[in-house]
Amino acid sequence: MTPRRPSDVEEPVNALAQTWSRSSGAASETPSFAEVAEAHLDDVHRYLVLMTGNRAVAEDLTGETFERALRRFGRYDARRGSARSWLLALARSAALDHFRAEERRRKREERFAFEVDEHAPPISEGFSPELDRALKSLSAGEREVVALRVVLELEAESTARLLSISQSACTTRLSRALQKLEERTSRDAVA
Amino acid sequence: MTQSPEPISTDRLERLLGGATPEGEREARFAGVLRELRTATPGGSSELHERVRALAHREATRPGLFWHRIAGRRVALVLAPVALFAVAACAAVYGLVPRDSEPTAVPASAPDRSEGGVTRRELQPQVRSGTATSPPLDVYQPPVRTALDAAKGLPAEVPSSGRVRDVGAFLRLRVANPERLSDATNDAMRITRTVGGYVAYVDVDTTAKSGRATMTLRVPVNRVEDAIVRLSDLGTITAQHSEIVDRQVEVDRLARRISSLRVAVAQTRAALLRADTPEERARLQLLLERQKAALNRLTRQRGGIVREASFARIDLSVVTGKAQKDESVGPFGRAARDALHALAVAAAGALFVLILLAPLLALGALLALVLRSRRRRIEERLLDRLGPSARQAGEPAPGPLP
Repeated sequence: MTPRRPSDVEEPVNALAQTWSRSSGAASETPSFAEVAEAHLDDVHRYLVLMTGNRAVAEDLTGETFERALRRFGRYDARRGSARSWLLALARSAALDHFRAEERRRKREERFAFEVDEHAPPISEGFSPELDRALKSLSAGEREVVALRVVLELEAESTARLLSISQSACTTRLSRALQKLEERTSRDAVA
Repeated sequence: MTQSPEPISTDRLERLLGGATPEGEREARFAGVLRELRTATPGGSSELHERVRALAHREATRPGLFWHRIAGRRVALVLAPVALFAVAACAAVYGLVPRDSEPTAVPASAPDRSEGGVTRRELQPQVRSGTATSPPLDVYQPPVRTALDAAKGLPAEVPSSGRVRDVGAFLRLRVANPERLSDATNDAMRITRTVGGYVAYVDVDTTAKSGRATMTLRVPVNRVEDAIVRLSDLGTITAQHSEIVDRQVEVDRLARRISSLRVAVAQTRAALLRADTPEERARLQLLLERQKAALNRLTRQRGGIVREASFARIDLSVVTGKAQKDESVGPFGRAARDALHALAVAAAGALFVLILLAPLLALGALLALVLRSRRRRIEERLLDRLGPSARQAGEPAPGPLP
């Protein structure tokens, strides 16, 4: 029986994923790295796009995330959590390392202001200009929780665990971020 | 500036996230934002997918991948039982390996050692059918199979050597109850008198359930073997010790001094007879008296040593108590007991180390918690700072951060 393919995954990608699964001896319980990567790469990328607000940076960090994942794949235990949560935790760590490096670099260059580059590329071509501007006005922490809860549809408990905060704090943060988005998109739309 | 509208409750927000039908214009806009976020946030480009696939393929074909997949925790889960098994195996080997629990065979006559003019010959234990005899006083010995074995610990040449020696023996017996203790004490005294000796000291202390008797018996040295054999029959031997101290050198030295003094006394007497003046006679008289006193003292001293040596000293201790449970334990039982002892020692050592390290571990855990909490706060501040602040219409550009 042919397994049902997700509608948003192209045919060649699926075929390649299955080839890699067979070649790496996919076990019934522990998926191979190739399977995990193929299944969750887009989710990781979406998360990093929203968190960094920059597609180019997100792409680099996605690659770095999967390199880290490959190095640590031996320690991944499927019984402790889903592969997606595990990958998102690695992605978060990669993003934080990037932010810390960026902050150190800016301090060295004595540039403390984070200013909007109005000519910066949009976060996503599919976003409306209002939403794109509204997203860029949020902090990285607010965009992060939006990415996890809204875009990736992670549960509140998993998100809170990933962010190392309480569930109520996570919900409050999300509510604040979405309120801002809604206000700013409607204000821009009216303007 | 318009006031912000009423915020949407978190419950309602969760329901909208779950796909609930929006109510009102505001919720409709909300739902629109959610829809746009979900559908328009891009996934990875095809180049990114290719890059990650190539990465997975390269690692999948690399030799030795198996070891990469062995996680630290899994290694620990495998190593822990292996380590425990190794410890148990070492303990079992320790229990099974025969140790030097039985004395080695040495010649009956040990070399003499001179200490301050007194020659000591310490009795060496002799091996008779695996039974130890004459061990050191502070070493527990299993019960002797026969009383004769205990007496054989004394060298055979003691009675007939002609030398002056102090012979001593210590014997500890165990009897069943205080009544038997009393009988054994009386029997010991009777045996002593029978062999021509005498009881120099007795101390008996009994209660309703236990008792102890301590005796010092003096028996003629040529009957000491007989006395020990008969005394050993009064109970179960639990400890024994024998010692011979050679006093001949001391006696010979005293004899030489006595001879010298006798000559001196005779010379003084002769000089006294030839004395011309009263002063000289008085001086010689005084000297003669001192020499005679010294002669008497040394003669008594030598006589005392010889008399002492003619009687052997037996220190007999009789106690009540139950038989040791391991008296009839076979080799497997001993091996198991020794193995358990080794494990107990190892466990005690591990507990000791754990107690020593416990404060450090607690401090380490506390420090780790503090550092983790601090790192989380720093990350949150970092994420709050990052992210551009959009310049709204009419708002001034944000200044540099402090």
